[in-house]
Amino acid sequence: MVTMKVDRLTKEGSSLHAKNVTKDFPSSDRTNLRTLALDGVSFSVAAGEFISIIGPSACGKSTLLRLIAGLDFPSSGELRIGAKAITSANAERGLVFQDPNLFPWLTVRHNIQSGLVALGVLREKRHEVDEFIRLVGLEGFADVYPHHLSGGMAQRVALARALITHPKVLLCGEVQGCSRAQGDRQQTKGRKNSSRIAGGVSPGQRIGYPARLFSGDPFRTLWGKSFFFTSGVD
Amino acid sequence: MKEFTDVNQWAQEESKPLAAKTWWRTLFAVPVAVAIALVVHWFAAKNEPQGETVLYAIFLSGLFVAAAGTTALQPLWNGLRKWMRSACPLIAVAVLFLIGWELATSVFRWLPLPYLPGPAGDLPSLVNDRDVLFDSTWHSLLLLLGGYALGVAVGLFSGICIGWFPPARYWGMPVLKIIGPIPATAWIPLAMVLSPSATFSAVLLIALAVWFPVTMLTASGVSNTRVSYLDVARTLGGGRVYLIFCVAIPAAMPSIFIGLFMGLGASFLTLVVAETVGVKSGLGWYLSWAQGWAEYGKVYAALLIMAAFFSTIMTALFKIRDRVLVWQKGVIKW
Repeated sequence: MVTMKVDRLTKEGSSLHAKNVTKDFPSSDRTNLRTLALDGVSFSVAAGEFISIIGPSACGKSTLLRLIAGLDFPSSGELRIGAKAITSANAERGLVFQDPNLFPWLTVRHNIQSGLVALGVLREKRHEVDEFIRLVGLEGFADVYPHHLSGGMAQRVALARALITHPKVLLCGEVQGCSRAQGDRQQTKGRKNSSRIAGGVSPGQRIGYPARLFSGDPFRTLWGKSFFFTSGVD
Repeated sequence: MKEFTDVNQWAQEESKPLAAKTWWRTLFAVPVAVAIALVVHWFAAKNEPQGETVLYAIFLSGLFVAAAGTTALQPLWNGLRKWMRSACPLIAVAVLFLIGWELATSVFRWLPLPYLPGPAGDLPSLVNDRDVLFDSTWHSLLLLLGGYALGVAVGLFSGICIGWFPPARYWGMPVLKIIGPIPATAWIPLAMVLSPSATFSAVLLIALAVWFPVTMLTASGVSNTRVSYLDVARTLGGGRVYLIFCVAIPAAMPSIFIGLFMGLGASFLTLVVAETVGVKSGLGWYLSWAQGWAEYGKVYAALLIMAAFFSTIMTALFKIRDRVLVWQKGVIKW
């Protein structure tokens, strides 16, 4: 039940501000159930900060992440990155979903580089693709299609795909997802390359995201600042 | 890894005696069947005029030589053995079918002539008319490919538009729902009056027949793209072009190929009907022309060519699908 948000360590003016954010899903003809997912949420996150959002099921954590990602819009209130209001989804805010959601028609390599293709910078940054494949320890699997991957490997591909565009804000839909991406790597790579793992350097950390996110123990994430949400439905 | 290999070996050992037994049966099935066919034909030929039946005898003898030759060669060539293992039972049954056919027609005369001549009567038509048949097949191919390509191009375009853009869906769907279900062949009376040439109208009719299923399934595939794929693409910075061409269309590919198959079937049907009615060349035209002269041997020859022609095209589409949808291998059962 832990959902989290992480700011990149570098100071790029990527502080995040939410002011009185409200999201409500109007009732449809069939359900007649109006859902108020977020009710006046306000917070500020400084650049480099690491935040966990914690709360019971269906209290609006994922909705908040979707709003920050720009996949959905608040009914009222405002969300800003620095001084800029969030108006649409873009590569500035990466999102690792609860499911890996890899494109099944693309190989591991093409999944990882899809962000570069989408931004039209594949030609300049092609060399980074191999780096990121190595970063998540999938050297031998570059040309494999997603359904051949284990859950942990798929999650690592999803992580590499989210990181390759160097987002200023990394949003993780489920802490287990990201930590599993690391834990799985330790199991498979640990014997072969223990020195690298012993240092505890994880894929995200290497390019500048806090280590706690990638630790195998979900409760270690609570070291960071946490926002506790409560369910207001009943 | 070691256990795995052991289990494999064990499985091979277990199935070896059975495989060897069936393998010898498979190996001699074709030569034996052809020999029986030759004997049956020898009896049948006594009742028939001399010239007509010689070709069939030559054909069977050739088949016998080929079967005996491959049987003799198979210990030397691994690829040939593999192919024979899978193909021999099928070929043997096909020869048995020829035997049954000859028995029912030429030997016992159960079936009425001239509508159902024996295999010996069809072969001369196939050989003597080969120039006309080849020409007809060529014209059919041009017509089919022209109409199919046009239908697929327009169908993909309209399908993607209807599947992706709500206004296109609003205006396009009613047209699709009203025009689409009308069989393309039902437009023939209109096409014959309006179109400048029969070939032109045939291309349009085939295109129309292909257009409907391709549009329908492309639109449904595109509009049913999983929202989570689109969300991922948007957080990766994908714009509208990326979302359509790199997410929605690849995601819709399995559905699009179903549309292409349905369209291909519809195009075969429309092709034959259009050629029978208006166009003055092609296999459909040859078919109705042969029927007009009551030369049913030629009718069967044309049917045989059609079977080979259409199934070759179908196979080609299957190959393309296997190539494009290789990522589905292991996900679904084909």
